Amino acid sequence: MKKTKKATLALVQLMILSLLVVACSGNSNNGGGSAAPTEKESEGAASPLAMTFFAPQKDAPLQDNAYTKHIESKFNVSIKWDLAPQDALADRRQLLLASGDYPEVFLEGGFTTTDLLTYGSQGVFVPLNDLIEQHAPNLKALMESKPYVAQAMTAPDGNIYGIPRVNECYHCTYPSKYWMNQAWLDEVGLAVPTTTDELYAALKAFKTQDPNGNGQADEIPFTGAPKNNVWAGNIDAYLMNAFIYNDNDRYLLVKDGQVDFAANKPEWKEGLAFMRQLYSEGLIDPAAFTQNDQAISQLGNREGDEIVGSFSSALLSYLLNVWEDDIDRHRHWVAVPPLKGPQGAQYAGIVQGISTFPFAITNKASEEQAIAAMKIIDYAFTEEGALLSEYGMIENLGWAMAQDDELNIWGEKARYTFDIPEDIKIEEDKDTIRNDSWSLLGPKDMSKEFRDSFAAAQDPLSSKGYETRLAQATMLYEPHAPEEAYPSAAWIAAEDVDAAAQLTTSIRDYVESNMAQFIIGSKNLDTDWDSYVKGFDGLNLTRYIEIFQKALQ
Amino acid sequence: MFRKNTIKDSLGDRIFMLCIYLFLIIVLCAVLYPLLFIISSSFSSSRAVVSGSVWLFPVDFTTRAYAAIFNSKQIMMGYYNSIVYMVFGTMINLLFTVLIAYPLSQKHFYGRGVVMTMMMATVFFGGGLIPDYLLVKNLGLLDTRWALWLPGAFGVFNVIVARTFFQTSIPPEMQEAAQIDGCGDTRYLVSIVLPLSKPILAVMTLFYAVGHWNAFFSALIYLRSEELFPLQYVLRNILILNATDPEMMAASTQEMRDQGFQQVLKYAVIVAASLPVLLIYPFVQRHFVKGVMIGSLKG
Amino acid sequence: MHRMTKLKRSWELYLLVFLPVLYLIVFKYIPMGGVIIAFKQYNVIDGILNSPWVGFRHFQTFFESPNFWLLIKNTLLISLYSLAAGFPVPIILALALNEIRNGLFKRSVQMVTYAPHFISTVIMVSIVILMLTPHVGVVERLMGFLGLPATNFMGLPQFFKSIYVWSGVWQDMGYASIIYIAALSGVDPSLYEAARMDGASRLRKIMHIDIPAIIPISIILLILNMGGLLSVGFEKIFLMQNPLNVSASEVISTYVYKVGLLGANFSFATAVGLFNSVVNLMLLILVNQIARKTSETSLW
Repeated sequence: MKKTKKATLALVQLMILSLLVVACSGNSNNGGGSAAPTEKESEGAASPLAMTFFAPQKDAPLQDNAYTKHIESKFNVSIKWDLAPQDALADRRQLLLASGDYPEVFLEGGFTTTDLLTYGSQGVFVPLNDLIEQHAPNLKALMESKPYVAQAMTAPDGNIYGIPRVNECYHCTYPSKYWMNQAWLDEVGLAVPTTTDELYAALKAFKTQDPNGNGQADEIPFTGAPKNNVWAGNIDAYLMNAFIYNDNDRYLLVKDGQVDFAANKPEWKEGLAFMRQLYSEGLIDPAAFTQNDQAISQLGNREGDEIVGSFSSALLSYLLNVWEDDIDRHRHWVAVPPLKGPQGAQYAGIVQGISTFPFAITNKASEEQAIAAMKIIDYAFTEEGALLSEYGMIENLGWAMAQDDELNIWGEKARYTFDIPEDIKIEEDKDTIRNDSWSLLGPKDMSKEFRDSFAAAQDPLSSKGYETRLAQATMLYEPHAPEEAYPSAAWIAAEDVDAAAQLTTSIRDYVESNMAQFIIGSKNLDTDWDSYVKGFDGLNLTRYIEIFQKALQ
Repeated sequence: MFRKNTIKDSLGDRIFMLCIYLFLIIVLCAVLYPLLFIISSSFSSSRAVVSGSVWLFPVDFTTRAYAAIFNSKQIMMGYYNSIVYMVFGTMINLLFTVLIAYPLSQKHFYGRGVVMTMMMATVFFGGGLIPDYLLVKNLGLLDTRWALWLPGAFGVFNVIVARTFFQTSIPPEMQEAAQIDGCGDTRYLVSIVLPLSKPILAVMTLFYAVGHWNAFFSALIYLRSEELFPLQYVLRNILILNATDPEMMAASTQEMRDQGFQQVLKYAVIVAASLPVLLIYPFVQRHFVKGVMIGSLKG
Repeated sequence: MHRMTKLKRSWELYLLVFLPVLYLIVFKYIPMGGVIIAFKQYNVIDGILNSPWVGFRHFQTFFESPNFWLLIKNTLLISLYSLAAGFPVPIILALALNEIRNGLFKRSVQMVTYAPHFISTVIMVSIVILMLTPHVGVVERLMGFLGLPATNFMGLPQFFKSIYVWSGVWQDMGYASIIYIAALSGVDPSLYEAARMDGASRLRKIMHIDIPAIIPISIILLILNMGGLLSVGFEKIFLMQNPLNVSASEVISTYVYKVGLLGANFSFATAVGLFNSVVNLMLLILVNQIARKTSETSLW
């Protein structure tokens, strides 16, 4: 027994010793502790200005990043990174802010207008108006040329608390798209539908006339997925727009500046009736209410005969592999413009405005730090800065100058390209992950003008031309945008925030679950519609509309 | 069927054993199939996975996903960190657990109810994330390894399980015998209770080790520097789990392109991340040994 | 015995518990004061101490939310169902494995059933959805094999709880059975020998030796589980929700998450958490009392 005791004691002592060693090594790496150093250095001093940036972790260390180094030397700063995992960004950020332990600068914080207002009014975020005026000429110019940006950035109290990434992705503005199998249309001898009646006929033909020619009635005329899993994948995103405008988010309508609610109108009921009819005849895939993106891709890409006739989503690539030249199935698919409903409604769902703000400066930043941060941001609003920031420091690796004959998605001459010719392309080291850009980090200029300076493969059906294809599809939807739509980034008044949160959640759940039930038939439109409409009173719909009306002012 | 026995089973018993085997085989298959699916998918090409061609075995066998994982400096760093957290964290856990579970199991411990209540109360009442965070910060433990070892020094659940074991597996006669010999509580613990408690110590080791290996949330709250991140934390970045964030999709079509590979990567990540912990289990199993008590009691 | 004698007798034990109790005080009881956030409107600048006091307002908001009773009902039903299904299965598994002598088979089953525990929730749910989706899922293939009609399970509210619970059982039964296996391994083998001599069948042996050996730990685990009844985790449910099953799948934690997402309302979340804790504690004490009266084992 004595021997084991000695051995145990020795082991315990060893454990404690090693514990201390390891722990101390962890400590020494962070000698500065967790609080961000706030040295006040005058500009132009030899040692760089230190500050802490909050950002999501990327797949390679940001402190070794080439663009980081570029910025650090260009602006004489030394950046300490405060990182959070991408999908828990909001949680970490809330924690930092709530505990008072936040850094000087949030480079990529993902703030909503509500967040900005909350923290701005508490004094945690500082107003940026003067800083922009004095130190951000490029951003200022952009704000002047695009008034909607300036508007979206300005809170009701006149202050600007956050700076957005001005990402004007053309096809993202009209996400409620619908794609159809042209080969099957040809098989059954019909044209691309333009009205709801024609759609019905086409779907019916898909179901009954065996367009895939295998003798089995295995065709799925119309499929989709819940919008949580697939971008604008819910079937009503597209279909309801033939009856009444559907913003697929808050269900608001705007007419002459007056806000109204869409999901309790007679036109909404008609839209539901139409979808119910399609569903009851087996034309809509029941799985459209439950499946996820993986299921969709397996459905579309399956080996053997094709079984899908049409698909609602912002992107065709969920359903079919468009990335490889030797896969052909996607080539005979086309985008279907908005349908005209029985009452003549023909809308395209539109998402415009800025709703997320990555950048804010907190009250912990000294004046020098704030100025430096603003200058760094402004650099990304120059063409050079945006290019290097988003696509990388290394020319001919992440991007290259365009060849003379390269054109952009509009067919205009391009300045840059992603399609780098083999002979000048830099060899990528297979074993290291690229670490030379701040892709998706921080505010920058990714406006239409900037995006248009890049070449895009001209053949929309080629494996490289997907973006062109999306752009061309979007052109079909643009003419049908509603005259007035509720902007996605309205500033909700501070006193309404709590109510807005609760009401939006309850109302959205109510609308969506009832819609699903009406469509699949577990609720009956004739008998249950009235009680459905009445249910909105219990959810305080009037207050909901009131809040959003106020925010519009 | 497979063992030597001096006394034969009755017919009823043999039928019973058949049922048992049947039950276990069904369970085995039911659990095995999805696991095989995951493993096979991780070794298949993205095209195959995306088109749903993978049912049981890999299609277009490739180790591309694993290459990506093991080439990542961050992931390897994560592995290292997780092992460190796990090894030392488990040691601390075991120490604390035994230190409190043993006294709680002793009937003559005056104040037993008080300590028990003190412990149970912490399960239900707590200030939440912010006070915890502020405490760790004020203790200067933020962004250090200790932040992953101290705040979770022991789990009440495990203490209660351990206490139950101490109470039920060790016959009271042993304690009386020890007392008569003039053995103090500590010596009794070290010399008699612990050696006899190998199974429960093994289980505790396993549970705590797994807990450390899976740690994500505490890393999220308390750690800021990249060189301290544990594996699970790093992995959440590798996977773009939120496939419908429009901005991520819209940023450039290059990112969209990798969607198929992302799926394969997801599966490979599960396998790579789980492997170490799975391998611990056989070592722990060895301690589930029957008959540890033979010969310890006389008469 | 006099109190002094009792104290003196336990002096070594006090030494032993010193460290853990210190830990409890520092890491648990000091932050516990923060629970007052539930009664305040917390904001960063004022901090915990100076944020304005709102009393029970958050609780009121919660109780008055439109589907309050639905949330409670769903949460309780899911918890109880999980318990009813998830409690016996690991025990049965452990008892069955205990009967096996063949080392390889036994260890393989243990290893395989232990593995699913490590699959992350996100992946788990995505696999479950995939398997249950019409046209592409394995389940539909199997059902077709057996001649059953194709059903979209994920779209039927009445199946939500079952899918949730049984996928949980699948994932955790192996891991949970470890405790019972450890308990069974502590059984004195001479008892088995005696039983064999008496000619007892395996079933009787299980009933009279194995089960009594694991009853104490089972009761303790049962009590502990009851003390977590209102705390149905949010992530798995949130990922499994879709417009069709919301009526059966909306629980307290998902509701709080959704509401909290749109407004950084820590106080609300803390208040609901406090409510959950109080109810859970009451349940725990209740069940503990029952256990005390009816068996030898209990928490206190």
